[in-house]
Amino acid sequence: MESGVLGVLPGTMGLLQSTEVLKLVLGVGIEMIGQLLLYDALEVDFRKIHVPQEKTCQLCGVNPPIKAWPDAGKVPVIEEFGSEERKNNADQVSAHWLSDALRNGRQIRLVDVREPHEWEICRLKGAEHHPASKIQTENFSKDLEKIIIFYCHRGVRSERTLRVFRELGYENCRSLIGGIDAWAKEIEPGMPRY
Amino acid sequence: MFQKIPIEDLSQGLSATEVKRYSRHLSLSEVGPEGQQKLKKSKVLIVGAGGLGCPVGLYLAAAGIGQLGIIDHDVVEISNLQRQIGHFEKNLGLPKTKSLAKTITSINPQSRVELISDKLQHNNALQIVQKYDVIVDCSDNFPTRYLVNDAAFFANKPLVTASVHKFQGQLAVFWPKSKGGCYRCLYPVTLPESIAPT
Ligand SMILES: [Zn+2]
Repeated sequence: MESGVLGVLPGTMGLLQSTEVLKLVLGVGIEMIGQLLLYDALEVDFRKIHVPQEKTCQLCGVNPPIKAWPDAGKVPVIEEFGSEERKNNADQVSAHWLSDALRNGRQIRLVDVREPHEWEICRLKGAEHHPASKIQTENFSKDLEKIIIFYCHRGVRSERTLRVFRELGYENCRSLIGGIDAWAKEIEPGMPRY
Repeated sequence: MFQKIPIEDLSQGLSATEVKRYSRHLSLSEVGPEGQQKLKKSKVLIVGAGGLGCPVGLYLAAAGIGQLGIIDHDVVEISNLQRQIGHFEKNLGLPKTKSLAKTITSINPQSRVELISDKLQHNNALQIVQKYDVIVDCSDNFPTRYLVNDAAFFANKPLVTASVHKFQGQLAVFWPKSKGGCYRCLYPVTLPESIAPT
C-alpha cells in the first residue's frame, strides 16, 4: 500500500519551493542555501537546520568517489544495520552510531527502560517509555525492518531487557552501550546527567 | 562564495500587458521591472508533475517565470486529484506533463512550457539539467533525487528539493559550489522506503 499524505501538504511544500526559486532568480535572500526546513503539520512546527558540506560526502566531499558524471546518479548502498557494531558485538550500538542513524532518518524505535523519576530528568528525543520492570513484549514487532534500541542509565538494564527479548526471538533489537549517560557525554552535552 | 544566476539580456523590456499583469511585483523594490524581466528570462526545470510539481508549475508561471521544463512519465489518475492541484478530472488518463501544461497556459499563456514525457535517467539527466537556471526536484523516489542532485552538482545549478510524507514535509536548497552541502551530505545512505514521499 502507498504511504499516506495529507492532501494540502504538497501545496505547502511546493509553495515554499516556488518561493525559493523566485528568490534565487531575483538574487534576494540566500538564507536557504545549504539549509533544510522541516515542517510538521500536526505540531505546527517549522524547524530549519544547517546542512554543512561533509568532508566524507560521496559527491561534494574531499576526494569523493563520484568524480565525474559517469560515476554519478547511483543510489548509495544501504549499509547493513550497524555493520560495524555487528562485527564487534551483535547486541550493542554506540551513541555515535545511534546519532548517525537517527540523523540519516533511519527508522528506529527508541525504548527507554528506566524508571519514571529518571525519565523525568532527561530522555532521548522521540523515545517511548517502558520501564524494564513493566515492559510487555507483545507491544513490539519482530519485523527486522523495525529496529528497536533499548536504553537505560548506563546500559545494564537495557542489556537485561535485550536478553529477555532475544530469548523470545526478537532479532531486531539492540542495546545502547553506556546508556543515556554515554549519549549525554558524547552527543548531547547540554543534557542533564545524574 | 555566493553566485548569482547569470541571466543576460534584459533589454527586451516588458509589454503593456505585462506591466499590468505583474503590477504587484513591479511595486516591490526587490522585484521591480528589472526583477520581472529576470523572471521572464529565466528557465526552471520541474522534475515531477505530481503533488509538489503542480503548485510549483502553476505559481511560477503565474509569477512570470518565462520558461518551464516539466519532466514526468506518468498519466493522471483519479487518486492524484486529492492533492495534485494542476490536474483536473477531465484530464484523467492524459500524461501529467500535458495536463499540467494545459493548466499552466490557461493561467499564463505567455509562459513557455517544454514537456519531457521521458523518465529522467543517467543518459539524459545532465543534458536536460544543463539547459535550465534552477532545478526544482518534485520527484517522489530516491533514485531520481540522487540523480537530480548529482546532475545539478555537475552542472553547477541551484537545486530546490522537497518531499512530503503523512503530515510532514521537508524543503532544502542545495548549491554546494555556492554554500553548504548537497543531498548526499544530508542523506549519505538512503532512508527506509516508508519515509519515501508520494
Ligand atoms: Zn555533498
